[in-house]
Amino acid sequence: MIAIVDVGLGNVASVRNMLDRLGYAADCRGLPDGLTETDRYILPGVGAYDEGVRRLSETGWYDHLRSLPESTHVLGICLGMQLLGTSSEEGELDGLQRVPAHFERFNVAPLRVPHMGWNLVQPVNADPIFDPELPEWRYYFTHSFRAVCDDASVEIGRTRYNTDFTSAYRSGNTRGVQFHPEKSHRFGMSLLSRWAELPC
Amino acid sequence: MIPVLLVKDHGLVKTTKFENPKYVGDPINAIRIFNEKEVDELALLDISATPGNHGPSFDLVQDVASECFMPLAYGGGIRTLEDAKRLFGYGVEKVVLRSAAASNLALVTQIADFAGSSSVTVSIDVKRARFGRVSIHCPGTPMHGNADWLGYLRRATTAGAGEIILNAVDLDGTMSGMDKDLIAQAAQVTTVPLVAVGGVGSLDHILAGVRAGADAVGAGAFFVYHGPRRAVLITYPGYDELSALLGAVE
Repeated sequence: MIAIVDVGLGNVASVRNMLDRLGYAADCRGLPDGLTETDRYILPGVGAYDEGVRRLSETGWYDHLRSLPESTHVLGICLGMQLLGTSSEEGELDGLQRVPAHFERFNVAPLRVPHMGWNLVQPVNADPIFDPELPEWRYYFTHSFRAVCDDASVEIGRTRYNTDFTSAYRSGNTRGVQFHPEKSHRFGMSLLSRWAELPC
Repeated sequence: MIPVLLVKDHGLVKTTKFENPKYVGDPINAIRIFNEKEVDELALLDISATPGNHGPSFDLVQDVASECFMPLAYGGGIRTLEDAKRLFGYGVEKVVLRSAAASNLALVTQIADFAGSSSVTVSIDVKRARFGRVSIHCPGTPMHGNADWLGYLRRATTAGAGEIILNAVDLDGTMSGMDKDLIAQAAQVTTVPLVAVGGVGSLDHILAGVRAGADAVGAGAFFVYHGPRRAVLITYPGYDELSALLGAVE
């Protein structure tokens, strides 16, 4: 089962709608009760980092997600990607520590922040969520912070916005994407269905 | 490039200079067509919500959002942080504030604090009077008729708006070209993305808007009307066509 972490951080419905369209059963869950390491997890999110950590803690999701083994499939989207890392300049609380990366405010003058709109992702380290047959990988972004990986090998996608930054990362079977696949029509559908089909 | 769909009493309409809304179809049907055409982003504005004083049309937004696999911005009747939270819960990426922002910029800050500034867009409608005097068009708010539109734009950004929609009222629905001078002035003072709307009737108009300083261009009539008799037909240029067009800017 795909469990969509639903702690009131927005965007949950769009993720479920796209999975529905693709034919995958997904459940929006306010609490982790009854879920196990064999389920798949999507951590979506729009909003502020500390608020996100706080809500995960209050609902028991923080401990649940931290205790899952490396082999469990977890996908963080946008703020969800940030929450999977170690820390963020946007807040003071600890992230879920599933991926060795922290987040810094985008500093790309003269370009504008938030980085908002469609942009290209260049897959690196050949992760299977990116279909190698696509002529390009184009997704919708809206964010003000960016991942800084402590270990370059976790990077699976790179995007240029004045400077190159890590737009997708992976550690074990935990993945994070800075963009919104659920809002990136056919490119997003391709990514989400490939993720849902990853072997356990 | 962003289709801007106007909704009035649950029907899709198109106005001319903000007046004479003409029924052009069913919004859900339009969303399906825009999905197939892989539109980059969509803005849905309910123009009957604030005048009718009935708040956002939550049921319509819910229906639209469930069909919309692209970024969706919604505006119309949003008065409180709770309204915005409910819309985000349905899958809306950005809430668009116009009258509510003009009456109370603190609401922009509240929503930005809750959801991040990239989730709040402030829409500003401007009108040119004779001799070119530009003023804010926002009936029923203290800002209506105020000539310091650039100052307002700056304050909206400071308050937390992550995007500005600049709408040239006089050009709405005319398909006669964009107000490049307005766009250039706004681009000078904004530090966040600027979406220019009003007057698009061709791909060249879009190019002119971007050259004048807009980060994106929104249009209504251009996407829903076809031919000199303005027959209703939803169209959207292909990605290749758009990237070839905008590639010329860089």
